[in-house]
Amino acid sequence: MIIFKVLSPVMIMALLGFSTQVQALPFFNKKNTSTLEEKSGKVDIKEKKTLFRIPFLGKNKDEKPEAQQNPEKEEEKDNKKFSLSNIPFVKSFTKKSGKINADLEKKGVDYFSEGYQCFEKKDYDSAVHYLYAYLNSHSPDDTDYEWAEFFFGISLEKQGLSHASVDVLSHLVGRKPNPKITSYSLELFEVITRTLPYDRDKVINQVLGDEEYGFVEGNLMDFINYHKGVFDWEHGFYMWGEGHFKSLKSGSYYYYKYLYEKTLLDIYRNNIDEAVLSLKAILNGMKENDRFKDEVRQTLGRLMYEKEEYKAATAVYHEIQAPILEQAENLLEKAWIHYRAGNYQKAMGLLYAFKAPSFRNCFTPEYYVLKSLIYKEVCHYQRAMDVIDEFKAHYGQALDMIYNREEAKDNRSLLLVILNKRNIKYLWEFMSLLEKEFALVQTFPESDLKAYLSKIYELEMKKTGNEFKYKMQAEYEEMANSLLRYEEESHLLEYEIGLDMYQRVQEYHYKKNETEAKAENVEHREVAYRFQGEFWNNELDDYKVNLPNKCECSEEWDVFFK
Amino acid sequence: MTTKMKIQKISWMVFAILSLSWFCLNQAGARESFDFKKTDQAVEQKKYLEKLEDDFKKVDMAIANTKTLIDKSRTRPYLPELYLRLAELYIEKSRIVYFIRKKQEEQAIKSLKQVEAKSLKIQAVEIYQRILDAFPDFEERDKVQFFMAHEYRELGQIEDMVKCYKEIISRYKKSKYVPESYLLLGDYFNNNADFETAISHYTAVMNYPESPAVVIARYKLAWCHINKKEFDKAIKLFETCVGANIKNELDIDTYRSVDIKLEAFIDMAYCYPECYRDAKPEHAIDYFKKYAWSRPVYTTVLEKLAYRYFIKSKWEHASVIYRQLSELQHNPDKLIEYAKNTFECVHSMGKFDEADKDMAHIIKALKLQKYSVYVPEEEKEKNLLEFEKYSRNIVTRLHEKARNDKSIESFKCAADSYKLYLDFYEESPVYKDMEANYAEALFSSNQYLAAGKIYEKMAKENAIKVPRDTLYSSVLSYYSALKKKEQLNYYETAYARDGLRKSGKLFVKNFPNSNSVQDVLFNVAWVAYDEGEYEKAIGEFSEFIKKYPNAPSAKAAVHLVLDAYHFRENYDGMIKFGNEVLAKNNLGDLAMRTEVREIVKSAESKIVSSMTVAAANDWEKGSSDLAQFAEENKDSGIGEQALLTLLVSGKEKGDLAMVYSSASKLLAQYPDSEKMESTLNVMIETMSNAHQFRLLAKYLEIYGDKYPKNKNSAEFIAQAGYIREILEEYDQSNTNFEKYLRSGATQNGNMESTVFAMAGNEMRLHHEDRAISILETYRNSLSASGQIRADALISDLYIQKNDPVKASTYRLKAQSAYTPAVGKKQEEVKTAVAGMMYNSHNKDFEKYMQISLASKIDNAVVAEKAKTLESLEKAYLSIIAYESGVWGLKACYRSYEINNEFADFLKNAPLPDLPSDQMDQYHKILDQKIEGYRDKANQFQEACAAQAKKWETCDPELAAYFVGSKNSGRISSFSSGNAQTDISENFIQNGKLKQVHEQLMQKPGDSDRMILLAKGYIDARDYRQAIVIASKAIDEMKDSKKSLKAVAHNLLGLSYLYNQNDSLAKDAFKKALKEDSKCESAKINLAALFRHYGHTDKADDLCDSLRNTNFTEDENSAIHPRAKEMYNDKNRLAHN
Repeated sequence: MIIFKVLSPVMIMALLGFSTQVQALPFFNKKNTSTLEEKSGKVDIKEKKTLFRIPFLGKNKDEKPEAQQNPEKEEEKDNKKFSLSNIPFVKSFTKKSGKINADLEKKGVDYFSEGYQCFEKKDYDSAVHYLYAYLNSHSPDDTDYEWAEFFFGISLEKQGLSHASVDVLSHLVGRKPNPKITSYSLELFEVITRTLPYDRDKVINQVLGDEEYGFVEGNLMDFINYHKGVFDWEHGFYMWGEGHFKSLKSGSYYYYKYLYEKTLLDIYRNNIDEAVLSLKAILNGMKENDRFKDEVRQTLGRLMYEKEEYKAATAVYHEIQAPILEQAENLLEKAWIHYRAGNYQKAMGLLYAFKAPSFRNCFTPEYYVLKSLIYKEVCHYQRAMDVIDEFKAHYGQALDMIYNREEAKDNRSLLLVILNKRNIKYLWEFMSLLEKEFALVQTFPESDLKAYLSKIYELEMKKTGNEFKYKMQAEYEEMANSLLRYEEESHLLEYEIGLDMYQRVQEYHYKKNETEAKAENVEHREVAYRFQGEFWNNELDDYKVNLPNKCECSEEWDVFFK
Repeated sequence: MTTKMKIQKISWMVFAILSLSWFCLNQAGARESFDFKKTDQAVEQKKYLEKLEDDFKKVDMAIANTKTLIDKSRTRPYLPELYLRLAELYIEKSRIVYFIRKKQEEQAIKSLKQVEAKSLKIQAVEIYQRILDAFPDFEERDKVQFFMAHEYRELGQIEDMVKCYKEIISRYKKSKYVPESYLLLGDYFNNNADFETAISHYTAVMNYPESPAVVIARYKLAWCHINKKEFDKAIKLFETCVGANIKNELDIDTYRSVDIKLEAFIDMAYCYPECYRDAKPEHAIDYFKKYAWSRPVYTTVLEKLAYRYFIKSKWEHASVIYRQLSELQHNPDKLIEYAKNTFECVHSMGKFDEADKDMAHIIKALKLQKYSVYVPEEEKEKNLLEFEKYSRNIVTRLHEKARNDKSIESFKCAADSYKLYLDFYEESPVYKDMEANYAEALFSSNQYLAAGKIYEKMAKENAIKVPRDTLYSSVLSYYSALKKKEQLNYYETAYARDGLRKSGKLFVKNFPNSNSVQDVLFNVAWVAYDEGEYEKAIGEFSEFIKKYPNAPSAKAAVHLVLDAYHFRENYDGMIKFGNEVLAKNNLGDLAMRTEVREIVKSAESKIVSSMTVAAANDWEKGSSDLAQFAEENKDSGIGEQALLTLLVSGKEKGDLAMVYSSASKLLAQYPDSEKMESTLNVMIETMSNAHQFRLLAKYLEIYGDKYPKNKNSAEFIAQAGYIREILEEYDQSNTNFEKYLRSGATQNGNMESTVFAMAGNEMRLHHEDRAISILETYRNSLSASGQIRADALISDLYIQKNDPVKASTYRLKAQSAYTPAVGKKQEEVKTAVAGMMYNSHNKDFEKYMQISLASKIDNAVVAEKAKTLESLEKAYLSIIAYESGVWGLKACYRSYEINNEFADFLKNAPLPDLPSDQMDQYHKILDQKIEGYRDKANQFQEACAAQAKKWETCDPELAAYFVGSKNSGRISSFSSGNAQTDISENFIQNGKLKQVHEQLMQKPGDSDRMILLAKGYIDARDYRQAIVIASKAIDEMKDSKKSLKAVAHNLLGLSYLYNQNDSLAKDAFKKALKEDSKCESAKINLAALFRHYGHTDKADDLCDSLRNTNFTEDENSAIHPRAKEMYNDKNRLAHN
């Protein structure tokens, strides 16, 4: 699993495609494309690498990285992790490369046999060169061509080039090779779709969607049927979709995935009770306890919240297994549940967890609104107002930039939030994967294979980059709109706090005599929410702050109303 | 099932089991090993050949063995079966031989090489024939016949084959091979285009529903119908094929690998266009979707259908199907193919209704190609070039269509297509043109914000020479977007605002002379207003107004600025701005200016209101701030508002000084204020309540002057006149009366009193002419009695003017009109007539007094004097008869004087030249005569004194008539020489007066306060004001408050005393005592007055009746010092 890393603005800018450098990439214009096509080994890798790397991993002198305070930046860590010395096969490659090069230049060498032998020996880095040489020198009609292509694809995957593997194998499967190859390839796709970001268009739409695989059986067929079913549903072919889903083996992983899809459809159709039952069935029946199950829990939690079953909702959220640091969204939702249930101290405790540095980029405007609402409920009006100010301080710059129509790439605080959005995050993770795998390809010695693989990655990165750019822009606009809406709501909240203060004071003074004694008792209590200065990750969702209800006591501002 | 089939089935099963077990083993993660073995082709081929040869040997051996067995079993019942086996072995041998030869040659077997295989088959056929010939009872003869038919077909002996199948059908009707025989015969006839016979054979298969041949027969039958152009029948049969639940695998030679269901479904696409010629393409989609069992199958059949339509040039149908395919497919090559075909359809049709979808499909296809490493660059390039032109073509046609339709939906469609185009063809040679078109389409489809963005982008891209129209379009688009703000979300709104602002500013900067600059500037400012940036809006709108005061939108700008100020609650700014607008004569029309004026006033009120609220909490500071504010904003509306507020608030707060000062400033600084009337009303009410009559008169007069047409004005003026009269400000009083009379508001009967009051005032001022003029002017308007009075007064005045003729004229009129009844009814008339009569004799009286004798007695003189005496006496008696107190007393006294004079005349008359005795007698007679006149004179004098005493006359003018001798009898008034002042606004400096005034202002009818006030004014020596106050107090007091009323009367009397109006003072004191006989101060005052005028006994009586001699301070202040002194003197005497 690729770890989501802290982004530098340069990276974001590059991904959005807003940099003129990116637009001027030589690779993307006709001239440079043809250069790569030459397969002459004369491609100026250094220049190409530099030019391509600038937007993705390089640093812009004018930009300061996000984690400038931290001497060991996340970004640097990542770069270190993927440096050449960390790639196992590179060390021995220099020795091997001599033999391979000699073999490739020889006439009459059976590339396939050589390649297959290497494959069998798990020497995938050598295998890819021989197999690629075979594929380049043979036509698809040759007996071993399909197998060569298959082993080539598998070898790429073994080397950590998952996208190249998907690309090669999806192309192969599209040509309907022998059933074994097809099944093996589909098996690999099944694993990749569950574990890595991948090109959905290739795997789901082209491989699974367009073809029939009647000969495949068992769990692999579940994988195919599930995705075909989802595709059909997404395109309005409910009957066919239903047909695929009916073929799923009850109790299998994909059966529960289907149940979840069905649940989402129920929710869409407002069949909430049915949806709840389905979600519970998934949780009770599913053996795997992975992210998917957490997603199911989250959805169930949300439905319970909507049904105002706060206890049950809390319990469901509590079962989520994902590391707490990945649960920023859940923390906020849990806080909402506690707030609605009237458990303000716990709700505030959960929000307190947001102070942890790990959640620094997970803030949402909603956090401030909820925090302010909680303070308002317990009549900490000044604090409620302060939170509104906090919101304005935190997002003031972002709001100014929105008002001034500055470009999305410059609005860093908003971009960081957007990158946590599911669809954007996925694309970003895929982009990161491509970027890392591309870096791996760049460690290959100059060869046609390198040029070929580079091209696969460059094209995919450009495609994903474009998609990312459009989605990011759309998401940015949506987020900007949300932020403006929250700003409006904060104004409203300010007003409501003021109104509440006034009404509270009125009520307070009417029943002053009754409550005087009570007020005396609470007045001297400490108003908590103390910052302890440290965070333990496993405690983040257990915080409970001491938040006394001050609605029964007189405060300084009361005097104003007297 | 044949052996071949079995073998194949087993191998598939093994593969399936192996696959499954492999899959199960490897489900946990990525596979590490794969079922692949590298093979050497030559070795494998050799092995295969060896195997074949081995098989050959085995078969050969099996043939030999079978033959041996046949030989041994000639009589055995199973002999035919052994022959049958032998035939099969020959066929197997034939197959092996065929493959051996094929492998050996590695080429297609030539006819010569096939001989060996064929001969073996022939041998098999011969054996089959032998079975049929030799074993007529063999139960599997149908099978033998069926196999033989198969081999005949293999050998190409078709006629023999047909014969065999026919024999099976005819001879073995119940054989399981009958339906297959029909089927294969059907195929034979079908291949020979004998469709009818084929149909009959295929139809015959249907009689065997359990046979697997039925499915195929139906399918083949359908094709027979197709060949006969009977598409309806064919498609029905295909539909049945597709809908049939095919349980068993087809176990029929030649059809084994055929997916009949799929084939039938695909072939439906062939029939459909013929069967449903008039159906819409959407029907086809629904139709095939209904029969399809999966998406790939559906895709396959649609491909066939689309292509069939395409071939048949049914462009519309083809295009719709291709579009549907484009939705479903993801294969780049296929998508490109669909796109090309769709293009051809559309192009042929000349219709671009679905161009947006086509565009999307093209781009989808090109995108897949673009990012595929498997598509050669040349092909990508070629497709890109080709489809760019096509895309451009359809999108511009779409745009053209939208322009013709003028439909928003069409423009929207065009805009969507442009977007697709621009997003993909980034390097298009016509990118900019297409971008411009896109922007236009967006604008025309009401997608203003998007249009604005594009226009702005285009304008900015051309930084060197910014295109004017583009930039203006951007401004216009953003503006239009904001006009429909309800359709925008928060972000879009913010974007449009900033877009408009920045584009607008750029436009103004680049094209300062454009006619549109005015509108742009206005809208830029409006954006600031719209987003609540009011300060900015104010600045920008103000600039706009300054620059374009005559612009049509200047008026709106003014309003928006005022609004902005209002939202900011910046009323100072609003006022300032409003005044600036009003100062510009060329800005706005009358209505707008009026409105602005109103707004400014309203703003001023708001400012003042806020200060008023502050003042309400802390009046001292608040009022001081307001006053200072008013001073700082002197001569401005806001200053006026402040003063008005101070006036009203002061009134509410009871701060009379503030009220007065505010009113004074208002009157002085804002003489034309619209609030003047209400101000004056306030002041009139306030001064009336506070009993400050001098100021009351002043405000009444101002009101009357300012609002002469107001219904109250005349009354106010009249009241002011009366107040002034009492205050002895006769000139001012008459000015008021004159205005009053001129106003024509004297219909209520008060004209007469006013006229006489005026005349009286003039007479007091010794303005006889003016008095005469007044009386003469209004004489005819007076009542009959009024005319008598007026005539009498005029006559009297003419006498004073020494115009006896005119005096006589009026006197006669008065005399002739006067009757005692009138006099009795109206004292004033009687007094006036009596006075007239009295004064009319003044000349005669003087003349009479002048008649004297010289040195010797002149009888004529004596006679004249005596006659005059008689005449005068008669006249005075007639005056006394009028019973007018003053004039009666005077006439009586004159009667005394003339008789006394005549006595003196006689006494001083020269002695005649008489002898002494005569002289003595003369003296005696003369003395008698003198005594007679003296007596008579004394009687008149006594009567006069008695009457004066009776009337308790306290008039210094009349004192001479009853106090003593003619010369020494005249006495001064009781308070003579007492100075007095007139206090008007100076009361503010007098703390006591101010306080009482303020108390009265708050509580107007408070009797105690009125008395206090009267006392205050007496103390301050403003006796005339005190008189008014006391009189008012008496009027307003209820009868029940007798003691208080008595105090008020006493104070009134005291004021009169100080004002040297002793007569009225006496009346007041008497009234005081009448109200309260125990009013000691009134008694003392009256007693002193009586004593002063010689009514000693009455004075004593009063003194005697005093009970309390220890006066309170209050009582002391209500006693005239001289009265107190006299009282003390008397007390001292009494004690001594």
